[in-house]
Amino acid sequence: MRPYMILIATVVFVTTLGTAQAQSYGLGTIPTETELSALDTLVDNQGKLLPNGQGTAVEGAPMFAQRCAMCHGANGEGTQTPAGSGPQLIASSPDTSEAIRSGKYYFATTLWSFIYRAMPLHQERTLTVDQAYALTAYLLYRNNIIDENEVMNQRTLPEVTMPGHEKWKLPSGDSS
Amino acid sequence: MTTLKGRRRFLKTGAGVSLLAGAVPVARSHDASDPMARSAYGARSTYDKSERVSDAGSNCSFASDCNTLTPLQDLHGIITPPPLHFNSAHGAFPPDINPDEFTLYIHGLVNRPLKFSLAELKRLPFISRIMHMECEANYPHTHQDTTVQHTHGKVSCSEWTGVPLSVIMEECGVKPDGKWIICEGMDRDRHSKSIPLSSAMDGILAYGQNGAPLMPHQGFPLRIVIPGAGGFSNVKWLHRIKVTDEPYLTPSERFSKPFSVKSVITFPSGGQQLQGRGYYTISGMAWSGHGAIKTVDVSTDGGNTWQQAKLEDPVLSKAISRFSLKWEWDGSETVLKSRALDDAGNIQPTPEEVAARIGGTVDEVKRNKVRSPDTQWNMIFPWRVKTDGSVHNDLWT
Repeated sequence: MRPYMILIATVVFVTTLGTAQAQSYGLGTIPTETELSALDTLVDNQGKLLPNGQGTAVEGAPMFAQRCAMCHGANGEGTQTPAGSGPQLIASSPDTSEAIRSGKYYFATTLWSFIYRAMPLHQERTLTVDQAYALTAYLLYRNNIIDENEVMNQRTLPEVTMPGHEKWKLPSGDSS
Repeated sequence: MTTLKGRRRFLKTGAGVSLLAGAVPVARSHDASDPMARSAYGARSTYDKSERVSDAGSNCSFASDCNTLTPLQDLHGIITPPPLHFNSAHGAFPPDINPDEFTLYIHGLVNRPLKFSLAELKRLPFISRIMHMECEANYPHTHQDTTVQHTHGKVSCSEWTGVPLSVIMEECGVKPDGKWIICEGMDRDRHSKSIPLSSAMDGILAYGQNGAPLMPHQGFPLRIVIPGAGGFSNVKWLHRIKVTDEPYLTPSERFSKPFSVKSVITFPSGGQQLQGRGYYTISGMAWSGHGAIKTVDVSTDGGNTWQQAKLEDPVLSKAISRFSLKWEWDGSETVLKSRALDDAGNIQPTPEEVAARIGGTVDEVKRNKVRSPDTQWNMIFPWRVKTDGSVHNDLWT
């Protein structure tokens, strides 16, 4: 093979690699599916990533009293203590700006995701999938968004329309 | 070695003699409570009392994590010492992360999910860039905001060092439908932020801040820093980047309006006391989320006339720039203001101009009760110098 042919072959080879986006540095390792699924708990807005499970407000009420009321108040009115504060979760009226009826939650899936990933304080990530569904259902019920006996699961939760949903707007490409 | 041993012996003897004599030891002890003894990691002068404070009116005791504001009035040049970098708390105390056990995961819409140890990240190509970082809530809130630390202290500027996000994204190979990244921190609530990939590609996965490892409050051992982005997007304790086709919302998710051009005089500023009429060098800071500072004008007569200030090198894009102006104070009451212009053509507005542009009263826009839809609060800021030399926030009179 003449030198220029080797050059062309090399260029073709490198270009092919380029389209396959090869690693340049050979560092890092491929994580296992198990590793990733343990970490990858943030749920997309449409709930495609919600896990299998279910719960109702009736089931969630005693859980709320046991796991949440110490910070958020027995009626979800919120508390301020020297140890920390728990935001209001249950609206005192439909136009309150301090609870999940407000625009902070555009999607019901966000509520599930936050409860499952970040609550309760100091005991984060100790709730089961079913408990997170039941607590989500309880808060939705107490905020007059769903009925007391509606079952929340990976199919029904994404169908819940939050009061703040109409304020949701996909940001433009350059905002961060 | 001989010298050291001899010195130790001398210290012991010295201490012994002093104790026997009941006198104050003449030789400096190695007592850890003596700041001068901690020379392995330098300590500042005992006369240097500069420190962060929490938000005015908050009863934060530093017992729990809280917002802390940078003492801009005490800083020189453009770099913020890491211990004085502002902190906006959204969770609890920083997680205690052993860097030897730390792993960064990148997955989602990529050809090749990868994980990196910190040691591996440090083997990759790195860049350093001086960038300011500003919290979305960096504006005066109450009448208790009397100093520049309270009115503007949620901005800091550092040299950040780390791996360009673009390098990591190339290593993993982003799929065509990968348009967003979700950065997740290891803090208690797993703070996560969706960022358009197009605006994050200038970002740095930073492990260094002003030459040192990140401090725990700044994300040790790794955070993302995106030039000009809101502080909220610069996720600390970053351990996972997921490439997605859309944002995944969290309750704390918000999408920042761009930070336009902004400046403030830091000397003389609120709470300071001039020593009498005569010469002063006015000093201040200017920065823009859109680019580099082009000019800064200063008024020493309440905005009637303006003089161009001197910009000190370096003047960098999306970083704090230092300006100064020679000033002879005649002892009369006056108001000092600064007005910055960036190289993208943005100019810092007066509250009156903002009110005229977006509606609302001048008072409402000053208080950020009526907000601009397209930029963060960035108005020209006034300091009133009284005849007794005291300096006051003159935004609300």
